[in-house]
This record gives sequence, C-alpha cells and structure tokens, in this order.
Amino acid sequence: MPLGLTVAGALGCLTICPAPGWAASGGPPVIFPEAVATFAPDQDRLFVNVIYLTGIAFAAVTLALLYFIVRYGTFGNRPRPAAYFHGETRRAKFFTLGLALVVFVGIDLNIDRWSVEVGEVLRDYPDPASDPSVVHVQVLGKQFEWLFRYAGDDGQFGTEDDVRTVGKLVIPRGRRVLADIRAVDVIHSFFIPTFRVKQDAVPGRTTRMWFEATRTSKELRDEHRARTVGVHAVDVSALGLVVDAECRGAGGEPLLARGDEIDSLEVIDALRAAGHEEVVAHRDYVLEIACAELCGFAHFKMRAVLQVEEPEEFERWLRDKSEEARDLYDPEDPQNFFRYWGEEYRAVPVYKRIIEQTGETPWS
Amino acid sequence: MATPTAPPPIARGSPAQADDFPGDGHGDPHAGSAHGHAPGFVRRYVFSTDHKVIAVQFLIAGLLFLMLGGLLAMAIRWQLAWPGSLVPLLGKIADDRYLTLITMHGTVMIFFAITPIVIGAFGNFVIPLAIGARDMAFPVLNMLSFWLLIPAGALLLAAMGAQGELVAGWTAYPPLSDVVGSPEAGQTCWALALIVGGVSSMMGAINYVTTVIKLRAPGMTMGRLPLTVWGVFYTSILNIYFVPVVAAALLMLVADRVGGAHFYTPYGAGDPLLYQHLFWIFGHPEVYILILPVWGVVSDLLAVFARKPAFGARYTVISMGVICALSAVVWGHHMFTSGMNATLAKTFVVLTMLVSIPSAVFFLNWLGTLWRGSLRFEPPMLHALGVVFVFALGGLTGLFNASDALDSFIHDTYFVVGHFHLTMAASVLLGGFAGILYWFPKMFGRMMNRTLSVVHFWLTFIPLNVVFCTQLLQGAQGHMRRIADPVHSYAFLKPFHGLHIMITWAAFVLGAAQILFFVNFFASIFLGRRAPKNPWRANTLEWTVPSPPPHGNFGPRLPTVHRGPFEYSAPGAADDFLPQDAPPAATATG
Repeated sequence: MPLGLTVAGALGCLTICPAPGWAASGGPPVIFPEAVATFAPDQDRLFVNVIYLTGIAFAAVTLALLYFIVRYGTFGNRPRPAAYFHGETRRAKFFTLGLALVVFVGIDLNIDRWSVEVGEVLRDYPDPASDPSVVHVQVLGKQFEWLFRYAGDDGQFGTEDDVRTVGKLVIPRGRRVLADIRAVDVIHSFFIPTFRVKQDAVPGRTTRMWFEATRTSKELRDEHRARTVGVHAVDVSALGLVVDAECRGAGGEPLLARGDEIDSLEVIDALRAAGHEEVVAHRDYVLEIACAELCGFAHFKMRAVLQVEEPEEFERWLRDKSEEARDLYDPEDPQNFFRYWGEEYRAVPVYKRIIEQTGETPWS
Repeated sequence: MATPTAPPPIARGSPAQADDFPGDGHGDPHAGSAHGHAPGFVRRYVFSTDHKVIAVQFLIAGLLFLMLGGLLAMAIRWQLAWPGSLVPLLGKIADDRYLTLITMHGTVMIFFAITPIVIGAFGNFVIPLAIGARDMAFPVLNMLSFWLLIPAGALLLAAMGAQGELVAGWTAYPPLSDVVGSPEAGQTCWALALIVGGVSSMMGAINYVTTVIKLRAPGMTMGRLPLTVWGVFYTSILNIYFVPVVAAALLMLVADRVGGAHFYTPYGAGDPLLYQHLFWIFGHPEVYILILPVWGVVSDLLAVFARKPAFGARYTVISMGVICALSAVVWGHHMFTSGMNATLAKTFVVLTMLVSIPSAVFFLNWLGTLWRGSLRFEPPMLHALGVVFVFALGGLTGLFNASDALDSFIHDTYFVVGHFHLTMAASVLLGGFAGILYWFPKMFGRMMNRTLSVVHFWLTFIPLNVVFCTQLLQGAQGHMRRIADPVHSYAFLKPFHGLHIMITWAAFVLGAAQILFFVNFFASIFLGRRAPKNPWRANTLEWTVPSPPPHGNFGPRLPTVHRGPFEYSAPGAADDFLPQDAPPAATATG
C-alpha cells in the first residue's frame, strides 16, 4: 500500500504540476517574473524541482489522508470496529527508519545538492581587478532611495569623474556586474526580482552580489508590447496597462490620454463608470530594483529602475556621464548626498549629533 | 497558601501526596472546597492559584488578543486590496500606520494570542489533570505567570498608542528599531512588553517542567504521558532555554534606545547583525514552541477519534525531541541574505533540511493512526485532520526556504509569509480550535454546539488555505512582504493585484467565521448542553473526573495509572476504550 500510494502520489503530482508546460513554452511567464539574468533560469529550475519533490510528498500525504477518511470514516453508518496496534513493532521501526532514510536521501540530499550548485554560481563573484570586462558598481541604500556609483573613466572610485545615479542602475547586457552593497541608516535589501537575487545592505559592512543580464530593457519592452497590445477588459487585471487610444468619460471629458497608464484602482472604477468595458492598451515593461527588507514608512516605494543596455550603448553612456561629472564636480554642494559617500553615517541625525557632541568619528 | 509544617512529599508516584489531600491541618490549598470555607470570589476567580481557573483566564485573554490580532489582519488585508481607501474604524491608513498594524498583528498573534492559548491554557488545564496531579508544582508562580501577561499586554497596547509608529515589524531589526530608525517611545514600550511577556512565559515553563517531572500520579511513567503533555513539556524546555536569549537581545535594544549603548548600530563595535543572531536563536525555536503543543494535541486527538492507539507514539516523542534539538541550530536560515559566510550558510541549509526527517515521522504516525481506524468526525477531529493537511503544506514549503540559493529569491517575499502562516497561523489556529473544542466540556461542564462548530471549521479551513496558498503564489512572483501599497509602487506587482483582492475577500470570510466560534464559545459556557464526564470516551485521566473537575481535581485518593493513554479498541476489553486508571481486572482477559 505505501508503494501504491507513492506511485499514485507521483502521478497525481505530475498531472497537477504545470512545470512541463513551462519548459516547453520557454519559461514560466505567470508563476515567476521574467528571467533576465544568466542564473535566473537555474534558480527557476531549482524552484520547479523542489515543487516536484515536495509535490510528491504532499500528494502522498494528502491522498493517504483522503483515502483513510473515506475508507475508515463513519459517515452516519454503524461504526466499524477499529484495528488494535501500536505501530511500535520491529516492522514499524524499520518502516519509520526507512521513511527517514527516503526523506533524507530523496528529498534533503537532492535539494541540498541542487541548492549548492546554484549557490556556487550565485557566489562566484568576478574580480574586477583581474577581469576588465567586469563592471564594478557601488550600491548605497538609504531611506528611501538606492544610490549607485561607477568608477568613471579613471577606473578609481572616489574621484571627481565618478558617475553617480539615484534610483537608476544602468548595466550592459552580457557582461558581468559586481555590486558592492552598503547601507547608510538602516538595513535595506537590494532585490532584483527578474534576476532572482537579493542581498541585504547592512550598515557598517559591505556585502556583494554579482549578475549578468541576458536581455536589454528595450528588447523586453518591445517584447511585452508585442505580446500584450490589443483589447483588454477593464477590471483589476488592467492595472498598469498603458492605453493606446484616448478614453473619455461619460460627459466627454478626457479620462486618459494616449500613452497614459491605468495607475490606480480609482482609474479603473472611473473607466467602468464611464461605460468602458474594454480598452485598447499594451503593457509597458520596466526592470525594477526593490528594497526587500523593511526599512521604514516609505519602504514600499524604495524602488529603482534597472536599465540594461547593449554594451556599446553602456560604454557611451558611462563615458558621457563621466565627463559630465568631471565638469560639474562640486564637493561642497549641500544638495549632493554623494559628498557623504564613504562616510555616509554623517548623514544620519543620531550619528551627526554624536559627532558634533564628542568630536569622535569611530567608524573606519 | 499557608506554609505546611513539613515540605509535602511530592515525589513521583508518592502515595503521600494523595494522603495529605483531605486537609488534615496541613493547610493544603485545595482543602478549601472540601471543607466548606470557600475562598472569596476574588481568590477563586481572579487571583486564583487553581490551574483550571488560570487556564480559563489564559484562554479568554488569548481569545481576546486573537480577536484583536484578527481585526488587525482584516485592516491589513483591506489596505492591501484597496490601498488608500477608507478602512472602517481606522480611516485612511498612513504608510507608517500600516507598519504599526503589521508589527502589532505579528506580536499580538505570536506572543499574546497563540502563546496563552496553546501553552498557557492547554498546558495549565491539561498537565495536572492528565498526569494525575492536584495542581501545578508552583501554584502561586502559576498565578503570577498569568498576571504578568496583563501588564505585558497593556505595555503592548501602550506601544501602539505611544508617540511614534512601530515601523520595524515583529522581528524589529535594528537599526530600524533602534534610535536610528524609530527614536520615539513606542518601540521601547514594545520591547518592554515582550520582555515582561517573556518573564511570564518563563514562569509558566518552569512550572510545567517541574510539574511533569515531579507530580505524576502513581504508575504514570513518562512513557504513559499523553502526547499533549509531551508537547507542552518540550515547549517549556525550549522556552527555558531560549526566552532568556531574546530577553537579553531586547534588553540590549532597550539599552541602545534609552541608554545610548549602541549594541546594534555600527557605531563603535556595535553590529546590527548581532541582534538578528540573538533574535533568531530564540526565533526559530519559537515556531516549535508554538507548534509542539499542537503536534501533541493532534497526535492525541487522532487516536481518540480514530478509536485506535496512536501509531508509533514512542517515535513521535523521540521526533519531538529531535526537532527540539535541531531547532537550536538552524537559526541561520533566517539570515541567508544578510551576507553570511558561504560555509556557514551551507551548514545551516543541511541542518535545516534535517528537520524534514522527524517531521516526516509525524506524518507517518498521524496517517498510521488513521489507518484501519474507526474515524468519528466530531468537531475536534475535523480540526485535527485539518492540521495534518495545512501542516503538510506549511512544512513542505519550508524546504524552499531552507535552500540558501532559492532564499536569495524568495526571502522577504510573500512566499515566506504564506509558509509561516501555514505553519504558525493555520496549523496552530486549527490545532488550537481542536484543543478548545475537545477540552471545553471538561473546562466548563457544557458542550459546544456541534453544528456551529462544524460550519465554523469549514468556513475557517477553506479560506485559510485560499489566503495562504495564494500568498505562496505571490511570493513566487517576487512580491515583497510589508509593502503598504502594492498598487502605487512597483510596476511588476500591478498585473497580479487581483490576487490581493481575492485574498482579502477570503480573509474576510475567515474573519467573519470566527464570530461563529466566539458566539458558540461564550454562549455555550452558559447555555450549552450539560457535558457528561467523558463525552469523547477518552482514556486519559482528565476524563475520569467530573466535568468540570472539582477543586483539587481528584477525590480523596489520586488515581493509580495502569497503562498508556492509547488503549482504544483493545481486544478483550469491555468497551472500545480503557481508561488509564481502570484496574487491570476491568479487562476481561486481565
């Protein structure tokens, strides 16, 4: 019977698990976000494999449970007497140990092995010193923004030609990027859902993360536009659509111009109130960077945009920005948060007060 | 309690304990009711040292906090489905107010709802009755344990009302929970509330462990304890080991906040990650602290309602012990993304995976108990079966989180939220209901309404699964947790907003269904059908005394235990159950 159940469980799992379909369609577009980094498909495969393994175990438990309920339940009929055994015989002991072994070898060791394989890739940090193709970028999390810094033309951080951006990370496609991640005030977590990686930004220490994008932002945007352009029902799934035709209210007043986004539930209500059951629209696509660790009241909008460019495009952008930075460099500009870079704690009111009172700066 | 002239001999199985009961001038606290000088209302129902009264106090306090935590959850769900709209009673929820709601929801549910119900109420009510003791080993400490929960709860409510929002979540990671991120008084109140609550838990835990070890009735060996008692016993051991750790961590946080100590800021030698280590050294055992009593309750109830001995009860006990030991060495899996050393991370992956082995033994034993049984679908049984299902889901989704590689995608997403709600919320809630429904007749001497209980089960079980399984799906889409407004923030979350609305409606059904339970519970206390002594035809000692049991629990003599708690459908027995204290002659074959 346990054997029969296991087989039944495995088969049941195969029929309900959509994974083979995902593999055939070149990726699971609905279950997971787009996979844009080199290792993102590995992560998805790991995820799906664990779904399979745990799915078999879940199906075995659930099917046995259902079977026992139906088979041994008393549903108003005269109760059948129960069998009497404690399940502590030698046979039960061996069966229990056997199950432990099956779980350990079949589930634990497999997941661990796959996990280590992917983990090795995630931790295979490139070395920008020995490999010039590696893009080295510094990431700084502060309430509630992500700041980025590139070394600029001279290849040195902390010089006047450093390229700095706020809320936007630009990287080339097909080249490895190494990010040094730090935080100013509280813990943040640098999360790129389409890359399937996150790394906490912890005040007082530098953490690292690497990734390599496989598609450019433009490709993704065009692809999504082509895939989604057309007539859409106006319901909650229309959230985030960009309309391709003007939408007017019942009185003829304009509700949405061409190119406007359906950006709130109120807009959907207004459209429906004006009799728009459908709209002609498409879905715009932006790669996003999120903060995944609760960091305060505006945590939910600590968002940055990730822009993946062709390598030549990226080089041009970096060169232009670097020149621009050199021209505009003003270390004293009080509006410029980057003047704190390297000693960010000076921007935190609590530390600022300590430094003013004691004159100490006990950070290295 | 008057001091006895000599310390009462309370060694296990000591007949002296039974003999000094009738109150022969020893000033025995339980002699009161037997001798007519009844204590006043306050001593009997408020500052009572009777474990059964304290259990009811814990239960009602826990249920009230459960109601508060549930209402907070409803507000959170409303905000997530229709962000920016007016929430009933609360109006428009500001971004930082939302974080207060989630912080309070987590803290209230874990420390003030689940803990009092499954540990305070079940532990207090079941342990002395089921092991054949007249009360806890330390009745006054027991009373203090409950009465410390009240200032702790008051401090927590003060934290919500005090200046500043509780923006740091129930885990309260510094520097966000420190002077850097939340300088106002609320967060200090929050930490103090947890410290006081922790002292209350410690008092209970010391009491439970001592009682189980020292006050068992004659013949009640450890091997004959019901599994519920084992569950609470293990939980108490974990509490004794790990509550001091979190208390120390929180005291250091308070020192940071009010004393300028900088344990958890990068100032000087401080380190934010120190808190995470300390918190999770406690925090991971905490999930077992909450679920061990439920595992025990489920294991016992499946046997009672399958009319069959619990399958492999000995291995269930061993597995509980193994899980307790493992729980102490897996905390790092909460910190995979914090920049942990690779070797350390790999170690924590393997150790975490090992938890699946004792867990698999539980499932084997639960299913083995049902196998060839004669299942009676009474309301407690429905909930116990529900636990088997939701805990399968919750336990197996833990394997995703156990992988450090996958964790770098799903950590801090709704996948984690779905996972720990399936284990800590769904399993513990259903297990809690199972226990309440099961022991209610013994507590109050009345039965709860069966129809209402069954309707309540289905209206709880189905929405629970819809809510938390959908959250797993959202997590797989990369949806971060603790997002106050999923509509007006990230573009990639927008196409899936319908899921939020669906979850919210399911949560509303779930919340509304609890009204049925509360009505049933409170009305049945006064209006329920009179309960017989042993309505479930169970074997354990609590069912051998009247419902509700008298002060002192047992008659002039303590029962003598002759067998384990699981002799259901024993061949040769007159009935399909055989109470633990029935003399061997009661069986036809001896």
